[in-house]
Amino acid sequence: MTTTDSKTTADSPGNAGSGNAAAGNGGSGNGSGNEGSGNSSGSVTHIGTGGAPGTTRHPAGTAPKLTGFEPSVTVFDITVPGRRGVRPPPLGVDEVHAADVLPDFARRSEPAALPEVGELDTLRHYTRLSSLNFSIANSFYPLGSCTMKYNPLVNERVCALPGHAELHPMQLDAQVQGMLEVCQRVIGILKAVSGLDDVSLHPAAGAHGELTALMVMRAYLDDHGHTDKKVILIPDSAHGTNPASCTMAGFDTRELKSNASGRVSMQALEEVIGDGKDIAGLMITNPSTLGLFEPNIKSICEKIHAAGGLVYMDGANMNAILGRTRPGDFGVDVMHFNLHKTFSQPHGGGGPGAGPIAVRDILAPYLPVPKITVRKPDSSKGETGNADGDYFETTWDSEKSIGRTRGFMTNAGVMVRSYTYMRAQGPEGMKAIADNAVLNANYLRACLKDTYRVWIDEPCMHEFVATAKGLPNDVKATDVAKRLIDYGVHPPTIYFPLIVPEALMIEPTETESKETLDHFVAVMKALAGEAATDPEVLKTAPHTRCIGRPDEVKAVKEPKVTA
Amino acid sequence: MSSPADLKFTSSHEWARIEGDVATIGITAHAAESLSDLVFLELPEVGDSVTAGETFGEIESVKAVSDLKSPISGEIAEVNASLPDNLSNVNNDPYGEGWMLKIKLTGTGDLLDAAAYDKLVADAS
Amino acid sequence: MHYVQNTDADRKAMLATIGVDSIDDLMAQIPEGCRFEGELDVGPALTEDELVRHMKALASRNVSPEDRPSFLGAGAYRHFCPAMIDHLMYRTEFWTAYTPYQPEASQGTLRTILEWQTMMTRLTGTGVCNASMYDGATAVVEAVMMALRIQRNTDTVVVSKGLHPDARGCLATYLRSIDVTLIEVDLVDGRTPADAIPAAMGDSAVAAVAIQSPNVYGVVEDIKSLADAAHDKDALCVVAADPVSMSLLEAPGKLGADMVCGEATGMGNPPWFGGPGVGYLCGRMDHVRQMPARIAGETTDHDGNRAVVLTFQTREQHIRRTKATSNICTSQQLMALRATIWMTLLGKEGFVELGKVNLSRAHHAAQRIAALDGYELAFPGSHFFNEFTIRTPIPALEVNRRLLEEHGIIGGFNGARIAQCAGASVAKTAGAGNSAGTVNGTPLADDHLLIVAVTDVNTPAEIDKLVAALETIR
Repeated sequence: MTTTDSKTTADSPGNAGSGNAAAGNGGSGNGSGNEGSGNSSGSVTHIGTGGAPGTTRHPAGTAPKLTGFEPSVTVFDITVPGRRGVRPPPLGVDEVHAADVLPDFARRSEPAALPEVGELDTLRHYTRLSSLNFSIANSFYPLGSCTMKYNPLVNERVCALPGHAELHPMQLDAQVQGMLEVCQRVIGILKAVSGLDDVSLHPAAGAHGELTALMVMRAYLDDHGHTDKKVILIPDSAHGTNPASCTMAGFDTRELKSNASGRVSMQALEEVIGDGKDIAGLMITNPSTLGLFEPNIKSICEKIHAAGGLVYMDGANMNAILGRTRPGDFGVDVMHFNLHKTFSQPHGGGGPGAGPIAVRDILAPYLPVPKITVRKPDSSKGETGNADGDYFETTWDSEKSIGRTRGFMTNAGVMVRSYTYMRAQGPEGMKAIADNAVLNANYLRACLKDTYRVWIDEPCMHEFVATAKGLPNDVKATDVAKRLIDYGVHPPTIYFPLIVPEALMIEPTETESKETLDHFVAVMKALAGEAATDPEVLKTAPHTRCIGRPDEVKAVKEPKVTA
Repeated sequence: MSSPADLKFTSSHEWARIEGDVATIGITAHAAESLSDLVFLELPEVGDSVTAGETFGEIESVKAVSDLKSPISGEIAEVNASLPDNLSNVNNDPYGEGWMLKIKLTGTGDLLDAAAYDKLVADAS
Repeated sequence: MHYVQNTDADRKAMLATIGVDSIDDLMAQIPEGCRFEGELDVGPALTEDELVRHMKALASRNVSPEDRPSFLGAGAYRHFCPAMIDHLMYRTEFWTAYTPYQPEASQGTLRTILEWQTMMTRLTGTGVCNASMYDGATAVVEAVMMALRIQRNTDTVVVSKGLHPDARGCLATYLRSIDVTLIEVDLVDGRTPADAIPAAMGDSAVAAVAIQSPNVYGVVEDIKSLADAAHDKDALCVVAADPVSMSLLEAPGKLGADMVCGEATGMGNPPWFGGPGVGYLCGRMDHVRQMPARIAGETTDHDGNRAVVLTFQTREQHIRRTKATSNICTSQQLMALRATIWMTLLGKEGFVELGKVNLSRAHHAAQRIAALDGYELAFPGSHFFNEFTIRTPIPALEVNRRLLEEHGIIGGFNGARIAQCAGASVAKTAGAGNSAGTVNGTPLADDHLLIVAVTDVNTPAEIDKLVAALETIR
């Protein structure tokens, strides 16, 4: 039996939240009804101003218990037959009856049972639901590898301009010159920060970028007669999307063990490369998921190249190195960016994001279509250029391209936001992002390392991995995470990377102030104190939310995936 | 806790009870305990063949999934049909009601005896 | 302006705590030879005021459908969008939150996912829906990949040419990577002929037959006959569909579709030049373990309070890694939220009424355009919801150019672009070289087809304007 699990293995973004769902008992949660009120055990000391959203604090035992009052879990709980929300536009023309123009086989037999709720109650319902979430505006959100930085509001203002938001993807190039120019400018900036030669904005997310890049690599290798190169090397600290993307792209994977200091072991690398015949490439995250820069990155890339393989860099941690180093300069052939991490696209509760890829020139012919090309306008066709005299054209014919990889062309709304963010920076600002991200992470590391063992205790990049192992009374990472919620701090990523037991992966980002970091340190220390004096309060946390630890076994054994 | 002495074990935590040319297989108490609450089991069908050391099925808890590796080679003679709906049997009685397959034996893999398996588990923790 | 709050004094104090002299010391872990010493060519920093002016100037170089009539659909439909949606989306707790991996801190997002799943399964007549996909085209790909996992030992997929060309193009790209054969079926009189399905399948081991209804030409397909044809040969049936059409059209799940998928952007989202969109993927509950991406499920906490969590997580990449059902770890959550609120605000009755507005206005427009000299419906006798195809007297490209230049109207979708969007498809195809197939046995000229979408955002006055304009273009 070979097991992968989330107690020892979990997704980057703090999955495994409740590794052992069944562990919770007694004292957790509070009565339905009053979000956050409730029976917190009396020993909770709230520090600073960080109250969790959706939380009201009552001294122990004084929470009002409103029996019989059951707030809506979903909008279907407040549906009343016959109630109406907004009215659609009027017919405006003579009504055409479905029965007259649609055949029996296609006509709907009964209307879909959508909610029936008034406008005000809709507003209240979703406002209340929102208050059950943590957010960057309400709380410090140090999720490792997720780069939860400030999302500037100006990006939203320009993104919502009708000249951007309402554009239809099938409009002709001449009608969307401004949007194509935004895309082309994003391409230019990504080329600059990566040191690579061409960029595709197609991928809708980081994992989609990985997949697209792997398909590009496959096409390049096949085109050069290397159909036998089928193996991608993946470090054991990699994010789960890396191996999953390889499978979808038709590659086999081979694991590359980290050495004791969390880096790629050069000896292990040589061993897994072997004679190199089957090596298609390496997928490496640099800085790594441990927040460390690979000191041997150049020679790692050289070894892969010597074996005839290509080097893919997972750019999840690009925030740490903007303006300080460029992947193209240290040997990377292809990489993806997470615009929702490095370039401040809001995470939206799980999306949208965008995962553009940058490639070395040898891979450029294989990028997906359509591509944007820049040329001079043809005035005989009524084309006009921009202030620089450039005209932007989408081109579809590309002999070597892997083809289509998504609907339409790009997550344009994300491009507008991220471009706006990029242009706020300038070259100095880009470097300041990396510098302050690294400074903030190292500051937290220095402040916390005596309380929580830091897995690799040396200067880190933008994040570091500590461990809950060693806390008294067998308090786990998940307990620390759940208890942080009571203190109004979003938990760090836990149980990732897989190679660190009881991992707490902490990434403060550059936009946090020293005061916020100091508050977090105080909370983490208070928590470690509780682990010694009152471990139950951690093991049954959180105590201040509308629910306690949920029963995830029941969610699978008695699945209820609709309301 | 010591494992039943009449069984053979794999280092990947499966057991086999070999009786003549038929072997019964399942997962060990240690495996069931570390997976904790099981929620899903996928087994092959009667007539399928299995190979020692290779995957024959999958078992899941809420946040873990494991490949089941066969301790022996042969053709499947019987599948414990009651299991998928009664996965608690694997947790509660891994060497009895929690058995998974009966296999018409053609060969065995590299198997451990109970003492060696218990030492392996002890060393790992 | 770079949103960093640290002051020089802060930095000094923090460096002292860390025990180094400078940030350069921290950055020294980047080895020599890898360091970038130059200045990034990213343009000078702009202040907020400059940013807004710059972006407005760029936006002004676009022709916005907000300012003039537009009859473009082709997979991205504009619909009425209530004001409350923007307001609620910008609740910071929805807008800036991360993926809901910590259920106690994410009940807001999780409960809206459960609502979305519920609404989409009710629209589509299916048992389960995931939290959303990148877009409609990749949702079709994922549905087909799901079918390949369910149908072990199959290596072929049959696809109707009525499927959106982006989805066809994506299928070609994705399936090539895993050595699956794609066979495309030509349209006859605008529809996928059910008897062409077994013919296309031959002796191949087919995992799925994928169709779209209404298809890319707007034509309503006979889903039941096609699903039956697929099932007769042990293949699953994947149906792509615009969810708004399900206001009046039968739920595909009730007609035999095993997976229902597509693009839901039109529900409460602006088209965004094609992204971010929101794909959806619904299926049968007995296939839930082969579904890709996130699924929310209801459970209880240990006090019995109702709670929503992400469930069946062992399917996903963070646990199963190379054997995951998909590499996806994103959902288009914010867009799905908008669609969810949109469905709530319209509600059971309003949604049907909106469907009637689409149906009535589209038929009104089609009738009047077909009455013009030189214009006719390309697929007479076929049925449509809010999009239809007309044959144009001159190339559709030219019609669209003159509509915009002479009348300020953004026309329909040029049929010639379907082949372009499907790309250098590697699919095997039995029939004619065109995209639109035959009508009464005669192949249609793709470049003389204009696919016109008329929705609730197209007022009767806009329709009048379009008809009057087309009258002058021939």
